[in-house]
Amino acid sequence: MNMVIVGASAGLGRALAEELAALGHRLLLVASDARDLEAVGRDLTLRYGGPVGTLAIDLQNFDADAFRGAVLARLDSVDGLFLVAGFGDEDDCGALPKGRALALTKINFVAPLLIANAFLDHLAARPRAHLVGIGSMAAIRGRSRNMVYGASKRGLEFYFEALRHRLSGAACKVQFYRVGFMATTMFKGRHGPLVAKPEQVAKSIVRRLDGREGAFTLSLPWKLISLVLRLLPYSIFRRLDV
Amino acid sequence: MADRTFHSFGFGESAQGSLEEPDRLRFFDAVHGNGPLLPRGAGVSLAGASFGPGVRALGMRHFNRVLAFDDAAGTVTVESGATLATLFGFLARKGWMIAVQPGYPGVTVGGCIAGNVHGKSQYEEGCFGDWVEELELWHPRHGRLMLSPTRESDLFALTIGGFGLTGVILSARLRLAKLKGRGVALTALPVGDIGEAATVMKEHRGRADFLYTWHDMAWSPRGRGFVFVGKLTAEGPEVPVRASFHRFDQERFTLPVGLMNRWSLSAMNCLYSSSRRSGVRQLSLWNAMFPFAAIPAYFYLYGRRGFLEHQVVIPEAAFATYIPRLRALAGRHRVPFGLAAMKLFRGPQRLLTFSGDGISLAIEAPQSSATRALFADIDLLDVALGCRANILKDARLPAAAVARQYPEHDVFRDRLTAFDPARIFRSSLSLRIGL
Repeated sequence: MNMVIVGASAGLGRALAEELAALGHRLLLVASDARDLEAVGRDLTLRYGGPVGTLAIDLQNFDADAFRGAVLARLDSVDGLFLVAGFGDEDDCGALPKGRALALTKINFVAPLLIANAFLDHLAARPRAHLVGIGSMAAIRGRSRNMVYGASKRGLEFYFEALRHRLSGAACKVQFYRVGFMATTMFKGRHGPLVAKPEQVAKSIVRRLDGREGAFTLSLPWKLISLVLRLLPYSIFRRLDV
Repeated sequence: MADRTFHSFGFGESAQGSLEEPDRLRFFDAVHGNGPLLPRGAGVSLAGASFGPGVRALGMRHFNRVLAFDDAAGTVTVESGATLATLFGFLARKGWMIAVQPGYPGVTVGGCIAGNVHGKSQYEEGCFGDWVEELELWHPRHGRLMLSPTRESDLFALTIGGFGLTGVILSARLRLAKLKGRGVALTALPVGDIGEAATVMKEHRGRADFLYTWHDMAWSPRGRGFVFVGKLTAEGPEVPVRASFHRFDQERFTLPVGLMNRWSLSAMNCLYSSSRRSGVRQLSLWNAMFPFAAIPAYFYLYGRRGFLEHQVVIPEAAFATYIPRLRALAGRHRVPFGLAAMKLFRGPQRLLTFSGDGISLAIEAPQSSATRALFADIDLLDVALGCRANILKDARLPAAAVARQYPEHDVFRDRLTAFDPARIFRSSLSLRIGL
């Protein structure tokens, strides 16, 4: 199958690329830095043998239609679209400068929305397809940290629910994963039992590709945290330093 | 960036620093200032080579990509964070292997270059640096530099075995060895003492792919044990692209009290001796190449106090004198040795690389004040008999010993300072040995 991974140069996107390459899929890796993309592409091609293409785009400033054209010029068709790119800002806890707030919104919400939107008809027409989005535990409840990031991811989750509704009846599975802490640069040095390796998360996502549609939280501890956060009355939640 | 306490493998050396693990090349475009910095690979060196007090360690594990493979030339180009395990699976399927591989598969190519490490047969294969054709080095003041024996050769020589002090190795092109087989026929030859083992090893010199010894010096002061002679054989299991193995973890749970003492070590060694029958065993190449991956619990039994290791190259002429004097020192300090193992060494020694002609002996003992006192006496013995200790394996080797054992100690330091007057890169090891 032809798989496109947006945000494939590092972290979860790169781990997903490796899992999919190991299964023999044809890949197109998309990210902002051509140097890392080229290195990941060469590595996967050499180690797994399959064809791996790369496409460098700036997710803050791109034309979704042109992007769609560039992808289809390289792959002919797309059977899987993984929208993984995302980033946080450690100052996202109050009045963030406009440019940085906009960057968070564009990369975490606008760009994946525009890409999914651009490929919607294409994926709906495929005999079998996958559309996968990555959300965050930061989007469970609004809080004074990761304010713009959390809002963007919540927006994306909402859009994926809409996509699922729109594509019900089509052969395209829509799946959305809320991930917690991962051992990536975004979570700068966090460690402990709640921190998952991106490789583990990628394995779970790939293993579930043919499973149920929906929005999922992968690990049991995060499921419990999510449940508690959802049930907590706001009068208590607002006192928490989370 | 996270502040944390780092430990060397064995807990012989520790320091408070910070760790950052970049995963994109543009990270290096944005690093400025005077550091202090240090590259970090797997972080399993027995000395404090990948951390230092107040040092910002740059973990390279994400830079582990295979960039090029040339079957005709027999070379592979990899990023420095690639582990031997990654390369093992990739290369074996193509009929090649890395010629020099230490016993733990999680070590990185960058670490192997920076330590100029040796494998199972230094006598035949030399050190890791002998197989490096070219490398890319990054330094915040100098940018990205391509180095080889013919391009910036002095800096290339300083970086091979340079303990990461010249900068961050980003990638390297390695010359490969043809894979002669996926299995190893490992013959165990019993010996009554260390001296006999040296004689047996010399008899097999040049006729084995692996050649090393193991000795019980806890129960048997004379060091009875085995000489292991390994030869690659065609038969062996298929090598997986991605191998899984137990990773050593410095953050692991450790026993508050070590279980390794004279009696337990004696019991374990006796058990090992009796279970290890003489004769030939057929092993997979993976198991023969990476024995430490199979026995992580062994190291954990030392507990939080850990252990110290000392490896030394003894000139053949001094060997007969060295061993009884070592035994006498161990007896006087009442220190039991956990592990004692030997290999044959040869080749010119330069700068701070652990090499030279002779027999290498590695000993390991539970960390204690008695062990430190014993090892200090061994430093004097090494100097007296013209031996040279492995800087990378001894977490307490002092600057004075290094200066007396390595004639180019000052040359190394002066060249390093000429390249990097601000000495941006530093580690616990470099500070301890006076660099």
